[in-house]
Amino acid sequence: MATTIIVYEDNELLRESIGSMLAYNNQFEVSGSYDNVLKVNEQIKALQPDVILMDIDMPELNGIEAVTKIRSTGWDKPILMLTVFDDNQHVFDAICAGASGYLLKKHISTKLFDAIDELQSGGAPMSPSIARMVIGSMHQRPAQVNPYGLTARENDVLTSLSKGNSYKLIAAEFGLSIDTVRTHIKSIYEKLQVHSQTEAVAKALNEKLIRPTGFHIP
Amino acid sequence: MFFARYSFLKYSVLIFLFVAGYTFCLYAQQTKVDSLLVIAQENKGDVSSFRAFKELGGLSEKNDARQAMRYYHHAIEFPFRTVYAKEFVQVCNSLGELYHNTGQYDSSLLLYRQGMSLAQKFNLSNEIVNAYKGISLNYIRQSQIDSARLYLNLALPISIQLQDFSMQADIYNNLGNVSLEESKYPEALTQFIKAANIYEKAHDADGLGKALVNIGNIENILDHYEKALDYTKRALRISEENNSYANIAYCHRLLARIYRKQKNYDQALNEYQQAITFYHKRSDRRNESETYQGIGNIYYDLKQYKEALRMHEKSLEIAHSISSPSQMAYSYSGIGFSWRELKNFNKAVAYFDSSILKAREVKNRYLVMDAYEVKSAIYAEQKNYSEALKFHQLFSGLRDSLTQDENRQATEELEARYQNEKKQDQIELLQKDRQLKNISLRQGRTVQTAMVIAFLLIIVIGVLIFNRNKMINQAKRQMEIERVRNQIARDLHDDMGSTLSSINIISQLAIKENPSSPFARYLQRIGEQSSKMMESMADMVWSINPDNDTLQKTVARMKEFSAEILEPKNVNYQFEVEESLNGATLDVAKRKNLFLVFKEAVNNAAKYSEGTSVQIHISRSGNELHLSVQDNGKGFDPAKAQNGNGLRNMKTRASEINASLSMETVPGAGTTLWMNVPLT
Repeated sequence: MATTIIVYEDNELLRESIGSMLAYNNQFEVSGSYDNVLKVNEQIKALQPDVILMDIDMPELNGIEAVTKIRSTGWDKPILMLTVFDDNQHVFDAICAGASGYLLKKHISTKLFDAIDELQSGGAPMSPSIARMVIGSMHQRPAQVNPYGLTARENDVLTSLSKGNSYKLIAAEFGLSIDTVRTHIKSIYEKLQVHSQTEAVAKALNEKLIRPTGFHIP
Repeated sequence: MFFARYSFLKYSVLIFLFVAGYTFCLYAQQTKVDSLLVIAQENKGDVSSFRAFKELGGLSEKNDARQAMRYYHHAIEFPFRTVYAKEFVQVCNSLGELYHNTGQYDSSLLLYRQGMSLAQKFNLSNEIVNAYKGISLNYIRQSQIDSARLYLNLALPISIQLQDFSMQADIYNNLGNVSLEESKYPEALTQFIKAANIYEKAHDADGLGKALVNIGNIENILDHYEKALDYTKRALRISEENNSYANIAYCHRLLARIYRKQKNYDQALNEYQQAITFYHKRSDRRNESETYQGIGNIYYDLKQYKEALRMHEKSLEIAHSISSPSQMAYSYSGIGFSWRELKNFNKAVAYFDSSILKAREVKNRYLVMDAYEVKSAIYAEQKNYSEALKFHQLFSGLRDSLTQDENRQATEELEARYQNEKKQDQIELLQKDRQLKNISLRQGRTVQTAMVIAFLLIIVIGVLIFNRNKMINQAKRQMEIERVRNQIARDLHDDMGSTLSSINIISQLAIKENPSSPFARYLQRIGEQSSKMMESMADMVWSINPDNDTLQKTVARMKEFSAEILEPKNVNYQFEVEESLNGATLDVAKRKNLFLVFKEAVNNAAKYSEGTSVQIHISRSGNELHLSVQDNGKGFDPAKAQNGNGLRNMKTRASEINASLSMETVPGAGTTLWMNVPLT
């Protein structure tokens, strides 16, 4: 069964190129491709994709807000963000909002298929820049010592990654297998997302946007 | 008979050995020069070729000053590098000295100043002192005595700090020369004696010779002939033992002057002749000119006026070629005196006029005064009494003002004091009067003062607030402009990135569609170029981001890159970073170029070396960052690779940030690249 994909990219040429590229591979099928995310939830409901590819910087509603909207419906399938720069604060925000991973546009032609496969099998690649941003955001909350609730091992892995070490080097440094490193990274991601979600809820509670009982987000 | 033969044999063997040894030395030196020339030519842009030129300059300095200057000029055409900062400054100073010796004082000053500012930047105390001394010497030659003294006084504390006795003595010696120029003889004598004592303590024969000869000079001026001869002969002996040619020549000149004063003309001429030979061989024009003047004066004393004229004209010719108004003034005067004796009065007067002009230029009033005196005498001899009177008045006026300068100062001081005392009495009376008035005024004034101060404060505060607001608004506007600019830049990059990515994707698809098409290789290039472009964009954006200015960030990115390139090829690699790096910062140019050179090196190791492991090492020592990339691959032939773009690009990038780059490769045994980056 082919994996169905929806593509959201406002650059027309790129959108078409990605479409052509995916069409070439029998494993994947493009069920929809759009240049804006204004009606994202309806489109997901109608087309039921397995994976979403989404550009981060789009006019009107941007990728991050779209991700928040999608995740608020409870849709939990992989969302892969496309971006030109990986030190983009937006990438970090998107991940906190619930994106599953990201891919640099310069790597699309060589790594798109692998990235989608990895996401589908539960992986979540993280780059050193993202690691640094995670650490940075932790330091911005001086009140809490361990805001994301990371274990000591997860902290070690995160710090080593932020120095530029590859998974292979991290594994060697702590005597782990590369798979274990991947598992730790995935766990860090999840805690990040959970933390952001709870933060959003707490904020909403404070602003009295939802009722504290009957925790149901439409 | 046997004895004679034996001596003959002995002598011929000795002569043979001497000739052989000398020839060998010459040959050795020539080979050395040749090999240095080769190094210099070969490695243009390299540290070693800079050093080669410097050494060549040093070797030719004593024999061929012009060639030495040419070599030194080649050396300072090199870009300034911290790695040879000290030697660069030394070259500047050496060039300054050479220019001074050939009479080009302005060029000399220029170079000494260049050396001085570089030496100050890098705290090279020794070289700073040399530059100060050189500058002051030039000022002496250009008769700017105060500036000369200033620089010597700047150099003195540094030399005391360095505890370099020879240097200290040199400075005292030069201070003595400065006092001499101002005719302050007792002061000069003190300073020369100080210098001589320190030289003797420091066993500096060359310096001691200089100081002794200076003392001899002063004793001669003070008419203590025996002492003068004694000191000068001592100085000559020491200078000959030490082979200090400049001192030897000067000693001969001084001896000549002493003999002249004693009317021992034959010996005087002899000494002068010896001095001339020295100076002429070494192209020391200024001293040559002065010596000819001395010879001219002797012929004048001997009443051989035609010879005297010839000598003074020779002196003038040289003085003119080195543009020394001071020398020219003396030469004109000498020629004037000669023509007078040869009874050509028009020419004599003309030359004295020229002498006056030049003497005024260098503020030598004594020479002007002498010229006035002689002109007056000449006019009198020609029975032109009105002119004679005019010049006699000029002469006595100048003489009076020169001799009465001191008196006048004293008188003025006395007068001022007298006036002061008279005023004191008046003031006392007024004060008593005022005291009575003050008491009533004081009360009113306090209120007035307070109001004025308050008013001023209000104005000041108002101005400060206004400025602050203006600055805040300006800053806000700046930030807004920055924000808009950044936004535009990002949008541009986003657009470009997306489009380039599309080109890349489409070209790959086209190849897949028909791999054996004749267009496949063009499409391949399109794909590669678009990929390269995206890489460059990403590198550029990373480089200019000010958040990335720490060395740690750069190292992190280098690690990422290594993993990206080497892990897919299953090449083992070790990335070692010494802890001492922490905290260092790199500016945009440095991090960009360092990273790009690193990328090139690792790419080469991955693509061409066909090795199985790569060692990367980054460390820091003092002000320099060291990078090394070593692979165990097949190496390459350096002669073939010189023309490749990759190596040339790396060298260009390195030189852009004043870094040194070197590569060692052995076919079959791997390649190592080293780069040293100065951190400031």
